Amino acid sequence: MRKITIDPITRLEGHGKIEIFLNDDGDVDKAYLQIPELRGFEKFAEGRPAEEMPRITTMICGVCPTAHHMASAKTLDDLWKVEPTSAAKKIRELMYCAFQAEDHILHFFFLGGPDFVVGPQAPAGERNVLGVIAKAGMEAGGKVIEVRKRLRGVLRIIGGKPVMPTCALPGGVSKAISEEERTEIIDTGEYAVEFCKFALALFDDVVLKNKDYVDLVAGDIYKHRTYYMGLVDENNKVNFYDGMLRVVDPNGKEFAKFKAQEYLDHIREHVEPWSYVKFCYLKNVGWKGFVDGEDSGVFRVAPLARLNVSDGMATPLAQEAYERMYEVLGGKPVHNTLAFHWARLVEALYASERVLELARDPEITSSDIVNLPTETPKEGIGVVEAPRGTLLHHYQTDDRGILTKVNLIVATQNNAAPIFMSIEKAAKSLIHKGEVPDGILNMIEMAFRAYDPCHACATHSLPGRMPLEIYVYDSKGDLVQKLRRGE
Amino acid sequence: MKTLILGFGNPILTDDGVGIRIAQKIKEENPDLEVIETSEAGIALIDYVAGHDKLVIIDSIKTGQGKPGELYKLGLEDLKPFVYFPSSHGIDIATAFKLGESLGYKMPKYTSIYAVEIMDNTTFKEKCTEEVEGRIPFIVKQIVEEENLRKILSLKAA
Repeated sequence: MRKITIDPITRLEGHGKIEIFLNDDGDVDKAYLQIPELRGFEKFAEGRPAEEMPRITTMICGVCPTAHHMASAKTLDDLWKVEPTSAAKKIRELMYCAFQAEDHILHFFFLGGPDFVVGPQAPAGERNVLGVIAKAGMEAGGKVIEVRKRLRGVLRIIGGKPVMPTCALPGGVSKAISEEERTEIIDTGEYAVEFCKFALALFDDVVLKNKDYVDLVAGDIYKHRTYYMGLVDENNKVNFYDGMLRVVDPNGKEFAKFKAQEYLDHIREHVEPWSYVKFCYLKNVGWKGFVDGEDSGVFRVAPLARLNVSDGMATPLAQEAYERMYEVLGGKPVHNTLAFHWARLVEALYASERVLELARDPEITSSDIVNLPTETPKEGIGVVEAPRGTLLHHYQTDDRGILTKVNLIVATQNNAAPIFMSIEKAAKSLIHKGEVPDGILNMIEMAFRAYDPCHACATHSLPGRMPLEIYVYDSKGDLVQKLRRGE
Repeated sequence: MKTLILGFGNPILTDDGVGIRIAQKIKEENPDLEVIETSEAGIALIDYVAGHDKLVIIDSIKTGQGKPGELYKLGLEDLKPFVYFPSSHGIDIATAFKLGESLGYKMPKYTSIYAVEIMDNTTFKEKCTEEVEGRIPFIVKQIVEEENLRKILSLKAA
């Protein structure tokens, strides 16, 4: 048995890579992001019974299993043309909101928070969740862990398991909620609402009262005028579980509103020779390259996009937080990528309020939880809003329900072009005349951390995180600088 | 001594699932041991391991320098916390430990981490590659011996 030590500079395979190419003047010409590819999911799924998909797709991502479970369940509803019962829809949405709240809170305190609460220029060793806790207090740290544990408790009650849920069936769910469980969920909902109020107050105190941070959020380095897409309910309010997909243009005007089943009329995928990622764009605007503005079909998804496409939040406290965000950032739509973090907290508050609202609904303990499918399956499409944006599943089957074709559009694919553009813009703003300033790794990472992209997120090999490298090449294509975290 | 065996991995990504398969096999052979298989990222570690005295983690690793199926043993001190994450998917074991401790959780006193060198963790497949699969029985035996798991069981029974 060999003994090894892994530190941040140990070379491991499967890392992410940003390549930056300079022109003759030493300014940035192009930047590329390369991420490891996961292969063969479609082939893996084909030939299996479609009912297995809610269970299998949870394994695609170690972070978003509930999102895949729910998108898959909704796809099965559509495949068998069966409408879940009213109680089943509420139970699903309740579980889904608990998941959203937990994921958003975790993201803010572990990923986005450190840049703001500790500071973007702070030493890397302090710019982490421990640094956030040091600044916000140990009590806050305990609250983060507690709220997360309780919300996972809700997932366990409804989903069977906290991580890989097994509850959703075509036409409903497999288990009802008892009165006793409802009481526990209400307690959790109340705790989560209070926690999110605390998190927003912390954001207010630490970020909004600091001019440097406000300038960073509102500044130009991280800004893109793009289209936005997200699910909205019948009143055009943000909804994670169901509704219509709404697209607004860079001026905030509604550009399209459509059902998930019509996605092929609106979304296309562009292929580049240097990346396996397919870049989604709006078909009715067209692919014009990695550029923003009205004439480019590039659009964004995820928290800020959802707020931008909506007319507000469906719960009172989140609505207040929504209004405050747009008031401070100068009205809708907001194009500043770093505002994704703020939007994420607004959404966490909404998700928590919605958990409470649904848990208090008398129907939530109903035993009428499934409508049995009777139709012959052929094709189904389902959509949810994953924490990281719109997630769409599309299955085709034979008449026995055996999968013949599977297509998934994951959130990161919708955001792929903007992520690339954000990295390139940050690099262009920061590198001049061949000078690569200190701290550039973090400043560039901040550009894509806001989107929290999924990068080969289904793998779990040690050290449990994807290393990232930045390579800088001069105009002759010679490597002039290599940056790795920790170096 | 409250002992937990934790197998990490994704069972549908070829060799990525090796940690889970090894954990399953240890459980099959020693049903009274507490074994958890998980596909979760690092932070969930706190929930699983808090309150245990001894922890054995089994995971995969891709150094690209060892032979597929080769087993490495690491201590927590060998995994320096990165404490700095490019995405949610990247909260590592050492950081989760540090976080658990700083928040006042009782984290295990003794932790061993076993990592199996793998070949392929990017193809969706339910089986490991032949090279890795073939080594599983041997690795199970090694971990059970190295960690005195039988002895722990007999003490538990007594």
